[in-house]
Amino acid sequence: MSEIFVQNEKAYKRKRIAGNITIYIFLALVAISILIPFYWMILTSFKNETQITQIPPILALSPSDWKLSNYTDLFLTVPSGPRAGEPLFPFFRYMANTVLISLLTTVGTTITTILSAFAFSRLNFKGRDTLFAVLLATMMVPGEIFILTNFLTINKFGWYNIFTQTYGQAILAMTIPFMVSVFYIFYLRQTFKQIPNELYFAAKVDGTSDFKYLLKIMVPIAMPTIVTIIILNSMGAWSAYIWPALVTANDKYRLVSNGLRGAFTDTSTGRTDYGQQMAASVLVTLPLLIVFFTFRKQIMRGVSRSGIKG
Amino acid sequence: MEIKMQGLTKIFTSKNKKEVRAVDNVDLVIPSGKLIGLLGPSGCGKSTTLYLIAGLLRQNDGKIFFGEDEVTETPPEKRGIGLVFQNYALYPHMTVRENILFPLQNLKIEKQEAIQRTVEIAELVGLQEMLDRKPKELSGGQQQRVAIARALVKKPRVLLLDEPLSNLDARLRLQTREEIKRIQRETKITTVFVTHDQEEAMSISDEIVVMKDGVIQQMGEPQQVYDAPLNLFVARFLGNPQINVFDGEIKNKEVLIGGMKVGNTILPDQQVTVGIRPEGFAVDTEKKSPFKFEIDMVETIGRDTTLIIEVESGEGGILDKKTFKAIVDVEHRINPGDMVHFKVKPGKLHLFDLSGSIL
Amino acid sequence: MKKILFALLTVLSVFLVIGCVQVQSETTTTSITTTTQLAELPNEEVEVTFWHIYGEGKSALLDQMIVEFEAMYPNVTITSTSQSDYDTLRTNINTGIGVGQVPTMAIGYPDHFAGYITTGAVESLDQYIYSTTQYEVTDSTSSIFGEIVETGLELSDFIQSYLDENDQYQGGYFYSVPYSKSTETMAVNRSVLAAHITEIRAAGITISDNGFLSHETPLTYDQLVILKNIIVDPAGTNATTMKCEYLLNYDSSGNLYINMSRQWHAGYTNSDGDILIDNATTRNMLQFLYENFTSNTIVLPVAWSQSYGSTNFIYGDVCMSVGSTAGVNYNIPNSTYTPSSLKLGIFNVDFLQVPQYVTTDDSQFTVEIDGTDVTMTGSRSAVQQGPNIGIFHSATAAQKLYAWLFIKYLISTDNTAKWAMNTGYLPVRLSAYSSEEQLQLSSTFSLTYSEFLGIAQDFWAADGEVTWELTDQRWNYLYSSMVANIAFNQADYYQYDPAFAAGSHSAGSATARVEAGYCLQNIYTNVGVTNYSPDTALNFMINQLTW
Repeated sequence: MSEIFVQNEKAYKRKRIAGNITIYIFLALVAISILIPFYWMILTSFKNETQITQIPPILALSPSDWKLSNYTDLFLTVPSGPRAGEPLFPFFRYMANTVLISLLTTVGTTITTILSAFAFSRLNFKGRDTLFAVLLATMMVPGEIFILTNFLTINKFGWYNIFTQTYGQAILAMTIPFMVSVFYIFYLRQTFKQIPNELYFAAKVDGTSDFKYLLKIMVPIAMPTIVTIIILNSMGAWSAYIWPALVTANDKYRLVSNGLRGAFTDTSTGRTDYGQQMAASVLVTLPLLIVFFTFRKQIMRGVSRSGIKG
Repeated sequence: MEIKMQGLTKIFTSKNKKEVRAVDNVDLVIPSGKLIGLLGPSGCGKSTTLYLIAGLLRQNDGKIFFGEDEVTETPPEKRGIGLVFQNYALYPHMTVRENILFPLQNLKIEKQEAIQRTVEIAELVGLQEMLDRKPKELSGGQQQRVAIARALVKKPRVLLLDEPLSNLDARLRLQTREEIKRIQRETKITTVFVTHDQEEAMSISDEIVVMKDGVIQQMGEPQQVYDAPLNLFVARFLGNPQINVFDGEIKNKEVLIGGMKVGNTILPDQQVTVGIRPEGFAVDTEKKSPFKFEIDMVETIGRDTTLIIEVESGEGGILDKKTFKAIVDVEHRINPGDMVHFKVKPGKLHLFDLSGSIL
Repeated sequence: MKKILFALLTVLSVFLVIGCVQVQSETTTTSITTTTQLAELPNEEVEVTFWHIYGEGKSALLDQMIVEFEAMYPNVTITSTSQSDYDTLRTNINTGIGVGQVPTMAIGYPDHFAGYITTGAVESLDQYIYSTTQYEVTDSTSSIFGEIVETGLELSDFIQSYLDENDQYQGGYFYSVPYSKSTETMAVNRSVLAAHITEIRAAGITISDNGFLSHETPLTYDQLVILKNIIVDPAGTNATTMKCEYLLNYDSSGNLYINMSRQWHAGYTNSDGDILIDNATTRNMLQFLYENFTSNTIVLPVAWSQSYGSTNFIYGDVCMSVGSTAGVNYNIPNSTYTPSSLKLGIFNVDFLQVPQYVTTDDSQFTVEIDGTDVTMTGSRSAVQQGPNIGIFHSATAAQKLYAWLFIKYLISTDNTAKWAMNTGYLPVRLSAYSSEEQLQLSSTFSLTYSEFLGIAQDFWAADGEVTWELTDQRWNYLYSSMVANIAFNQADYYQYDPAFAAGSHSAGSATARVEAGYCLQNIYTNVGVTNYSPDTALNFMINQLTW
């Protein structure tokens, strides 16, 4: 009797191990396919020009062969002329712009999203559902279509004047059009709608205003969703490319994404200095990785628990 | 604090423009310091009435007074009410302490006092050990007590409870019922309690108000309403098993059901509806009563025996069912198939006119 | 009430941001507007905005020229802004045209200007080029105080095909002038050639003892076939016999297609935007290329999954490689390469003109296609590439005048020579080749453009056996000098690429170039596929370009 049990146990164990192996192999493959581009970026950043073009490609470099020149060259300054002393690749300026834009866009988006989602989920006003339907309909329109109208808006606001554009205006032009997202409003509204009406009544009876209810009750309850929105939005802002290039008259105002594309291409040959480009990419990715690892718990919670219990 | 409603009316308009009078011209005075059960089937307007008192809904017509104070146009947060919801509506992200403190913070009560009151109220509801837990870490009954504590902590003029027990299991429900009763007694706060469960209402209310289709049917002490229903609806709504209802007539001061005499009356001859509660029957051991039936089923629980009598349609003038029930003393030892003669106990014969009003 | 207000505010804030702005319709003007010539130099403060794509480091020389120009005209400020890359530059100008936000002047490819012109946004430069107006510089703070400034441009000093490219637009007006030009030249593995001198001479091709072919006359296709039979081993590169696997690599398949269609008079496009590729000559040309791909005579970088063939040239896979003059140094093997990859070791490199089918324009040549000899009329052709520079219509008269004077300054003889030596582009003026302007190439090395050209000339004259010290700075500029000489030698048969924007019946010239490249790559990748016909690729291309 006990032997049969032991046998079963063994068979079960074997099955479980086999299952685990399959799962781990699958996970390992997925992880590798995600990591390869990162590995290649880092590897390329340590190669010199001939190593990059070598066929067959070099798959690994021992640390003693690492060329740090791609990194050090990033911080070279213009040797002569009126711009002498300025960095060849204004890495820190681009990073500062990117961080600022991401921050402003995200704060702005979060505020408008919370307010609108609240209005559309809790407040009763005439035409609310029609208005919401209209907003949802705009989601059907590809974002590129808005580029022109947004550009005209920015121009009419006087924020895009190639002769007079200031840094502040460039920042406004880059951020304001992206401070609202219908998708996020929809997303948060769904979460808000899951919050039972009674909580609203309870809070009313407990003496809160609508705004205070939003701030003290709904926002904390919907925090996982809001965190998700913040993450998605800042990622979007971080990698924005077309718009920042379009509404800034001066490349000093642009973002690191724009810098990465153009700065390492030899204008006369059209060839790209991949080593430097990858070195710069590593430096750009680094802050994101640091942020991710620092806030890993919060981010995972936000992404995995986007619903709330009623 | 007495609550007075005058001609209170609430009309809901549905999507197809149909108007529903959820609360229809209600005049009601809820005496100060009493626990009143607002009772009725679902959709009768009891919760709407409660929300109108709370100010969470806006009446179409009528007035509401708290004592001398007209609150008809006062927003909920200014009415000084405590409200407890069916699903408790605790703030899930706050601890018990924060939940209870929340209304006090909104009232801008001084911090020291707020903390003091929180502890006091927690003691009152027996939650002093739970103050730092989140709602989801509490049982249903505990959550309900938090909700009550949160409602009471701001010392409201009126406490309103909306189906407070329906999410609890049977045992907890009994326990919490007593708890609510106790708390109400201790605080002497005018309390309105909405429920669809008559037993619940009857067991803890000082007075019950029975509602139907937005109209108040009857108000009074629970036993009084049970014993002397003002109409057929109330008679039917209260009591379990339900009251037995028969078509009957009055002829020569005798009350007849299917031609069988069940009692006497002083009323003039007419067609009537006769209501007899199951416990209103008694077995006529002398077998003299003409009101006799063959017993189809016998259920004995404890000291009561429930007799179930199947009736052919039209036979015996049974109004709305094919069976009726009688509860008799267990000592009678009745078996299925026995022929039993029934008497009606004095005062247990309820006579209604054909529109359902008591005669 | 409060609730409604709150809701309104919330919704309003959303709408403010989405913003509905009426789209202004711009009337398209194709007519040429003429500006009144100013009698004297405007002396008010003038800001000229100049958009280009030169990054912070690469614009050092440009910045220097701006400083000099501003010293000449103290009331003028040139705001030079990099738009990072050509795509961004063009997009930002195109969107800016709609709202009147265009720079005073910008660099751009001919198809960019063709696009701007359709909206009437570009100023015709004829009014300045042919103007006889002279200005006296009366500002005493100017570095050229008292001098006379001419408006006109002496067109005869410019390479003719550069001018043809810039007045190909509607009405034959100049909407731009050449600024920064380059062409293609052919790198050859001189060590391989030198190893087969006897056979090459026996076949009737003139070659020096050290493997130099003629730098004055381009190789003909017939000569290429002869060389192929001598120096190519289709089985693979062989260091013992000194043979390569392939003969000739073409970096840009688009350029190969376009240039060859000119050499064969096959028809490609014209400045009106007509697509002229659907004809028998083109089909013959593609079949011919297909056969040459098959025989390892011509190869495209796609053979090695590369964008450029220079790495494989260095590896010895191919003996000759046609590429941009700007990419010279990518073709030179050196010791930083892993020795095992260098199948022919570190070999000598020479540069030649791009191969031709005829030696004189509009003459006949014969090639074998599908087993039969076909005789056709052809011409010499080499591509010219690189941006031009132009002025936008919306600027004020004073801005436009100073922008023009600035352009004149940028392409002045000395500056175009300086620019050429500094960037790897070629001078746009003939006089630059004899310019006396000294350019400091390094802290210890400066020379004029003609001295710069002289480096390669001396090297060639000595048959590669110069007695320069190893530390002689001339070594660093030898290959750039070779390419500059070759480019100059083939300048009289440069052909420009017709530029036009996408229209009602065809795609734009930029798309045409891209599709031409794909067409040849399609043919190349189908080499060896049974029953494959290059017609398939051509039909696909026609389909892509016309509607």
